[in-house]
Amino acid sequence: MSERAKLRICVIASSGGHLAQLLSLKESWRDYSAYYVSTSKSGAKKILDDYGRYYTVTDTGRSYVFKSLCTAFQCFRILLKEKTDVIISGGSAPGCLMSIIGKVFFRKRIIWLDSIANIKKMSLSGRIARHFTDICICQWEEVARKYKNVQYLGTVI
Amino acid sequence: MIFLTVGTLYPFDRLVEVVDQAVEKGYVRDEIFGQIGNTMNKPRNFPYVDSLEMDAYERHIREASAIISHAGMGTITTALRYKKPLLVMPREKKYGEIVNDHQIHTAEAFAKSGHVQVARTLADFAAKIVELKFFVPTQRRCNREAIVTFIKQYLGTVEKCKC
Repeated sequence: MSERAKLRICVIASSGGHLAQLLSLKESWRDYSAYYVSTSKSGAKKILDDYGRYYTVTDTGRSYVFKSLCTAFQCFRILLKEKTDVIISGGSAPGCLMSIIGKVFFRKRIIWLDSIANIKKMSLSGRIARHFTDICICQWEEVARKYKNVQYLGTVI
Repeated sequence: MIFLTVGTLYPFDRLVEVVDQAVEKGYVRDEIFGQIGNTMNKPRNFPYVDSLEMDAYERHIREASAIISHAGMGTITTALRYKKPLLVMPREKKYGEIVNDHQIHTAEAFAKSGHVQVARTLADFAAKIVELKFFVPTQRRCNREAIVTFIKQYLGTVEKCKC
């Protein structure tokens, strides 16, 4: 393989809309070596079949303290195990935890794609994660204007 | 067949109940199949499962004549991809159905552009469910290419730093 194969990408998104939106950008990292992280076994199974290596982490949200701790621990373990250069996250809470851990403990590059579902303001995950990202993209022009360093480039769907 | 789906993270009793009533009162004569997650009140008038594998979920969308769901992006995008008429009821924070009211905004924005039908109340739902199968959703135009190019360029610069 060429030198391009050296770059290793972690692609993470909760199953459902987040994952669907992020995977629609799969061409972006086609030339690199990627592994995937998602939340449900069934969602991840489809990725496993079509894309490559994957990990499952516990699905969580802002109101689940214990689950969030589990998810954070799982993300930490994945980053210890996998040599990673860039984390591309499509949200929600697990993607946010991975972004924070990736930046704070592992100094990784972080790309955040906020879901098109957030029309008035960025998701809570996005608003937290954006302080740890290198690139932060949202899908509504008016939303992007509200935050520093958040870009609008169009929508993925 | 009309496919009802409410996602899997939170229950959605209000929507399941409304659909159940619509069947009972005869507003809906089509067969209905539901994916109701951990909703407490189980429907009496149509068959359902708690959750579906992603493949089965997509097959149900593909085979449905119309879809009823919460205003989740997964369902909205999948329904649009298969050009299916979709009636959404947004989850609302005041009923404890979700953590914030972003689904109301999503539903309104996508209804405004003709992609989905939206119902917020029982009365509204009853009126719209009758006409749902005649609803032809507007297809979306996106600019995914711009985002792909941007990320590609960024990864290219990261790669250069690394070499």
